[in-house]
Amino acid sequence: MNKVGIIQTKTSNIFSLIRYLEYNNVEYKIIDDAKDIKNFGHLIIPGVGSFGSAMKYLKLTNTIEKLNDFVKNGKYLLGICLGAQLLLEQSEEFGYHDGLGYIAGQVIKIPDKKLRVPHVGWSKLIKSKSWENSVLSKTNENLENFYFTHSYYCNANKESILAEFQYFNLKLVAAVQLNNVIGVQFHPELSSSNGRNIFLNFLNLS
Amino acid sequence: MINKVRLIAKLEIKGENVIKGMRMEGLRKVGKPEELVFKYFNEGIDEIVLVDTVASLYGRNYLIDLVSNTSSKIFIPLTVGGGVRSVNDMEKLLTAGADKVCVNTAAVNEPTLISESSKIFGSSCIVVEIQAKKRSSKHWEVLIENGREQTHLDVKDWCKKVEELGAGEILLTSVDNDGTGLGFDSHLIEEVCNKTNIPIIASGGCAEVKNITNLASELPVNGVCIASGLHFNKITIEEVKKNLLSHNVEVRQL
Repeated sequence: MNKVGIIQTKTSNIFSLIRYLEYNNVEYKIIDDAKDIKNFGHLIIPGVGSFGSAMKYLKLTNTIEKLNDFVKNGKYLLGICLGAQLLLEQSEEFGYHDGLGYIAGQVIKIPDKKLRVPHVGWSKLIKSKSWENSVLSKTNENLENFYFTHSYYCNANKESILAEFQYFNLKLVAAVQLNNVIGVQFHPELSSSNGRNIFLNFLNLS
Repeated sequence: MINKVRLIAKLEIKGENVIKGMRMEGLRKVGKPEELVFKYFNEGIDEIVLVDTVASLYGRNYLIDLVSNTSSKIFIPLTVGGGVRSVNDMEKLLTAGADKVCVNTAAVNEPTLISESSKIFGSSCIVVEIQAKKRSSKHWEVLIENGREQTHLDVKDWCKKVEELGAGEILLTSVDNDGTGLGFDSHLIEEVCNKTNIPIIASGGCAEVKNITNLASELPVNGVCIASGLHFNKITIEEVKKNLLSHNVEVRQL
């Protein structure tokens, strides 16, 4: 299996992710120097933190230009939770911030009128048309237990949506993909056996 | 479908042991934290909350080692609290493997801790525990230092305030019902649910399966904490989930 690189955003708790990769015998390296990015075929941008501070850190460490090259070269990038949101063009979390812009769309707040926000807990995924042949397609038939924890969501273009979930009366985006760039709003590392399959599918992409 | 109700095991820790008291007093030893965490994880609990009950009293924190030892073997969210006083304390717990941190005393003493930490770690990492002591039929007071000190703050006002400051969830503990097995204080929980838009986790008083099913069918709680009920083998996670499903309340199934 391919070794995966983990991008530092310095705002995330990457421990959950790392312990999960270790448990599943996935080799990884935390990337401290952006120059190292080109040595990987697969990268993960991990979860939690706020959009603006994560982008600021990526900029400061010259990670953005290296990521741009990485994506241009057709290598595989997986964003988790906040990492998925960073793949879009812009976010409105604590003011407006530009994202990496690999996938068309904006990150917007879940409307909290009569809803409980953040959305914390397990939700069921609803497949979109582009689901088949994606990293999600080889997960279990049981799509019930995907763990989410977020106040903002990826309002991506319809063509790039892999899966959605129902939150009260709203259907929100759970996963996006455009070619070699994939984002999942849920945490695979906290989503039981389906999470494992997603990581393994991702690392087998070539 | 709305949201699956999360069943949360709450482990109160004193020194090297999980303890449980009644109304936060008269503590009894229950067992070793590691063993109980793995036991409840294997039995299908959805989430674990670890609270160091004496940390804020002595200003120390035993939890870091426990968090590292347990978090590498369980794959459900782990929330850790007790003696969390600063962004730095939070960072230590998150780095050790906690998914969320829980604050009570420090949030009351310094409310900006909530806004500051939610901007750095994201709201969804920040859980505020509110210990509510009933003072009249419509009024509950916020207690701190694990139920030992008064604040004169009104629970409903404080809930609204922590939401505005950026808390991701409220862990609402009824001090009156805690450890009594009398069931949840549904009146308190309803008042808080009506006042807020962030997820509410109900805690205190749960001893029977029907306590959980009744609460989750009637009120929009996102999670329920179980402590004595599990510690003293009065209920099992499996029977709680079965019962919830039979009453059309959705839960995570393994």
